Amino acid sequence: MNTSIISTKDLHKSFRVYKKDPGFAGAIKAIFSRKYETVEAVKAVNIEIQEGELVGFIGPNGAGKTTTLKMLAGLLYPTSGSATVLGHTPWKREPALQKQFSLIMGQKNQLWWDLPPIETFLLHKAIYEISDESYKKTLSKLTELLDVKDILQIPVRKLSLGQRMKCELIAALLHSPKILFLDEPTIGLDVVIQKAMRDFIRTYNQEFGATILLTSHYMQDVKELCKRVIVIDKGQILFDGEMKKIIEKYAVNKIITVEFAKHIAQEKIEKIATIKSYEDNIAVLNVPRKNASEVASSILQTFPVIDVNIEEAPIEAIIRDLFQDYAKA
Amino acid sequence: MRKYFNVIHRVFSLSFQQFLYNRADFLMWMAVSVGWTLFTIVFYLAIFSQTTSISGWSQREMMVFLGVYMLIDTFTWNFFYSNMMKFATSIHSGSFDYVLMKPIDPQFFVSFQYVGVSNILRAVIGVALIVMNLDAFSSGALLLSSIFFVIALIFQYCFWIMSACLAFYFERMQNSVEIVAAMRRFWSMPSDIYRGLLSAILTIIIPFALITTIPAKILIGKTWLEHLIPFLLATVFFFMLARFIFIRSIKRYSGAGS
Repeated sequence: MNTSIISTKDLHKSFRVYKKDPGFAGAIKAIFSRKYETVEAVKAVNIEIQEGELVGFIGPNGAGKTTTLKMLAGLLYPTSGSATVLGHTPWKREPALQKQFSLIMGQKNQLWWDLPPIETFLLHKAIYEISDESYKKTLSKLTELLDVKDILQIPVRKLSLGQRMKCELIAALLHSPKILFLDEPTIGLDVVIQKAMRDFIRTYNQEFGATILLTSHYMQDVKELCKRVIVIDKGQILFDGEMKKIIEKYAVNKIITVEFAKHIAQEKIEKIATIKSYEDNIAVLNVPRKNASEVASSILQTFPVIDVNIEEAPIEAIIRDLFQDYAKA
Repeated sequence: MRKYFNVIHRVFSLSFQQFLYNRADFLMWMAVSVGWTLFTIVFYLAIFSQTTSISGWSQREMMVFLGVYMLIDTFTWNFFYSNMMKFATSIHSGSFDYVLMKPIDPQFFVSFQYVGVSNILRAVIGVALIVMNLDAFSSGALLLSSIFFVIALIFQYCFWIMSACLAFYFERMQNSVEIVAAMRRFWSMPSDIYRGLLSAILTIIIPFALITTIPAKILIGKTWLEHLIPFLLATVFFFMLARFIFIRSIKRYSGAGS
């Protein structure tokens, strides 16, 4: 049985973008004649997301992540293709659907700037028709989870970026949405707040059973939170599957870190493997995945070694390689 | 319907709190508004020191007209201008995203997302002018005038929303609402001053000149029934047109780059 609560079929979105010739002459020319170019932001995207999933949606800038999220949230009309979210067509913007999802954008805010966040929460209570009881219960739970009880009465303009983001989250979650679209929720936050946000997203997914589609440039967010990732670039899905499958499929090399008992000439090591770095008798080697055990064994037999460690290449590097390969293709 | 009243109530509350928070700004704009209002009154008094009537309007009648105009102008600045400027700006900045995703009619929300109070004294002066210059009060006339006052606001609103929608079609057009602000001149004078083709345009085709004239004429007891049909028809037509344009326009919304 298909239990997808988010489903897209050949979803496509193109924008007409004005291209200006450089310089003052270009500006004058543009008054009389403008050149436009069609940008294919999203091309035939097919996604199926099951209830309760926490899916990472990753890609470089301009890949089509936000455009896809905005179509799923009903903010943009697609050029072609179809989508359903909880059985509704999102761009029809039916209140029955709008009350069941939230889109949180890390770079935008909806809190009233001069007033304490609690005032915006009350406005949202009226818009989403939240009962007094439900409002109190949800607000209490969210403020506890995000540890923001003491700042709800402070004007938004006086809050730090991290505190503001937490309050933005509360404003977006007061109506207890079943689906969360998170667009760069940790952008610009320090590492401590990033961690707190990740913990919250995980808890919200588990405790509330919410389905979450998360975009982030911080791979740490995706690595820690998402079992499944969808990789998009130039509007096309490059990969859709488990995070570990990306590594199996795209990680060409493994990293071997060796600590030698004494200094070994670099040339000798290079006969066995490619050196990434070599400092203080510690060498970091780039080795083809299939030869990793063989190379490690050879090093142990050839040189005096204190410690050896074999690990996968960082996920950031794997994803970067994936995008680079795709760009070349 | 109850939800919409609750939202308006909450927006009013937030707006007033915001004004109280920014006291200095509030007081400064209050002073500017009172200054402009008094200047307008002095201007007309200066004209009436040279003549006894303007297109059949005596000084006392003209002061009632001015009172109605100031009440309308209070709504113009506190309500239409503030909301439509925010709306048009949100299209450019991309914050219109947050309007579209809420379970509320987006046209309603952009029209009632904020209310200014800096022109409130202009309304007080307007009421004072009406009370001081009306020869006789009739509750029937007051009620009818109030009804046409609301219709006049709806008529005016149509042009605010249509001009703000231009921001969907042209980049950096958030100042498009200034067009309507400039058109206030058409209803700052009684419709009787317009003659010929201009009168036909401003009292029948796009009856801007009737916005203040009808409620003022009803209060004073001047004949106004000839304006009834064109004004009602125009209000219904432009209201439907504004709704149509709004719905068509939001389909063009492309947001702002992330």
